[in-house]
Amino acid sequence: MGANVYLESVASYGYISTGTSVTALTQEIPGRTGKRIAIRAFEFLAGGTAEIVYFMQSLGKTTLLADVATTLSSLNLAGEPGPSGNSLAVGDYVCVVLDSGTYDFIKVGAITGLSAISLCGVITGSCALGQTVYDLGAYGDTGHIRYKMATTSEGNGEEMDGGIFYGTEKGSPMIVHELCKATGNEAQHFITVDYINK
Amino acid sequence: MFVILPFEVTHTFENGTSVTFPVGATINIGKYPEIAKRLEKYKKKQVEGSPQDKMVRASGLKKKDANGNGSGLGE
Repeated sequence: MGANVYLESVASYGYISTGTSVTALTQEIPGRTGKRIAIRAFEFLAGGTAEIVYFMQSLGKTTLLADVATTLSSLNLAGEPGPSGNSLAVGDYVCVVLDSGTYDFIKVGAITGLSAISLCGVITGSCALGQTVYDLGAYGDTGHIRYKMATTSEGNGEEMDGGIFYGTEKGSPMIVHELCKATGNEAQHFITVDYINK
Repeated sequence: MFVILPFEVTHTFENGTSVTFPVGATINIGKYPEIAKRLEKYKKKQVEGSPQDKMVRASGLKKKDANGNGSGLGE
């Protein structure tokens, strides 16, 4: 398969991060309407301590049952976004698609029912009822891709034209999460993302 | 090639790094030839069925259904 088979244009998006030792590093990758995330290349460093990088995928989705104004911090959901056996829980990541098309990633702070999901932060833009809410769960949840790094200082990377692996569906976002368990594990991270139309 | 995995699978690279794809993960199978082989075996098994299914088919008899109809083979 050539790289351009599913690419409407050759335009890769890169993320480079340098974390803080023993502080988890989280990279949010927004989705795009009608496009699927393709992880084209990445490299991480395990500075002598093995650990796992989690490519957190959307585990499910629902929609908003009521408008949410900018700076509010609670959601009213139309349905349970999580899969069977893994309902939305405190500490899970959700991603709300704003009216502007921006993807807002926020953790769940408290749940008193689907009509009252309290968030750990505020929504950064308005979103009307019917907008999509993705459930990305917690990093250890079943359904995420786990990349277990060896204890090498040379970095752990992969690259492939056309993408190595992909998001669950068109439009869905992804989060890359690394615990950075030890000093040396926080340096040198990059991810290259394409958006494909398949 | 773009495939959705019907099973969880772990691929280990030469440097000791490994990647675990869950059920439903969408991957480029060209990167993982041994997963492609396993997928082929899986598809073949899905088409052919279990050894019991193959025996029933070869016998020409019918496996018992939920209502108790059939030869009883493959129970």
